[in-house]
Amino acid sequence: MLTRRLVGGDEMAYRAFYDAYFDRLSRYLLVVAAGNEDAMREALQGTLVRVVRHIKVFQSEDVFWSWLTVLARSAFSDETRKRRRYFSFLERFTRHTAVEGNGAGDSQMDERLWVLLERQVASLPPDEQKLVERKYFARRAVREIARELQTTEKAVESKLSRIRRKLKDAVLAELNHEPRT
Amino acid sequence: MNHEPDNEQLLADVLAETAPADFRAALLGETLRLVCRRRHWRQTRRATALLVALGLLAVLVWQNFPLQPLAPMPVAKAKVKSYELIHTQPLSAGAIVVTRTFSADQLVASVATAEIVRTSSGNFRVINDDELLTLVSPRPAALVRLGPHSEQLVFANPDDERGFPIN
Repeated sequence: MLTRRLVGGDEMAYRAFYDAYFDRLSRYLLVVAAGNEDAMREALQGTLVRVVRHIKVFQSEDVFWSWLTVLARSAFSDETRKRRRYFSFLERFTRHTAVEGNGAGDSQMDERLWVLLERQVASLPPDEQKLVERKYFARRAVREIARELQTTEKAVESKLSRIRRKLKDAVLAELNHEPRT
Repeated sequence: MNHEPDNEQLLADVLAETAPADFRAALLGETLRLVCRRRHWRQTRRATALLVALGLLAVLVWQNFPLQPLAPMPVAKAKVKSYELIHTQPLSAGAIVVTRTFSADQLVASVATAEIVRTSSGNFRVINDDELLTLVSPRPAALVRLGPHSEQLVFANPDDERGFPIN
């Protein structure tokens, strides 16, 4: 239904598509780009342009997502070629192979991110780990957490932000260094 | 720790950290502009294709079915006859002119009432002055010479100039 509206050029459908797939595509491309955020953003832009140009009707959400991942890998490959125009054929071939290798496990892209994130959360100091668990797993309000810790909401928000940044840097670094097979 | 969809917020928040705040909005705006441009282009292409198709159809129709003259007259298709049919109608009484014969007293006939006097050459003679005076002798008259060969007979009584019987 969504893809039919997208084919018709319905702007509201594109907004709905963004709500449903923007973050998912971002995460997918972040893994494909091995944690390189700039490469991810460029590839994401290329992917969305490709969606507009080549959108067609899909009966199944799974098939649609598979098609989106093909577009994403294709866009990433093009962007990589552009950015590394002067690299040797061997290096481009290696990167292409790596992208293809990532593509083999489309359904496990999010899974990989989750595994990395869980690993990083587990490696946090106990107080930070507890804060993350309260906020995201116990779903406690910041005001409530601040009251329990006898501190201010602003202090809790600030600490959460620092933890998230640390987690992100760690996840991206791990993505960048993990083997691409 | 599990990663049920409920906890997806952690991953989203972590990845959104330090990301440009307006990246998503800018990308959405760019995408919508592209969508709008493609929609206009598609509409223009469809309209052009329709016009071309209509033009081709019109040319085909024009070539295969030439236009007939509007409202052809049945007389033009009628068989040519060897005669011409003319319809007449009687004139009104006021438009008819009649003649009748005049009665005898209305007729005017022309008859010869004048006598024709014929003259012939050489049937006269020249008289002299005396013979002239003798001829008019009963009436007092005189000959007045006006020039070498010009004379005038003058009657004493002007009434005689109008003529008088001769014995």
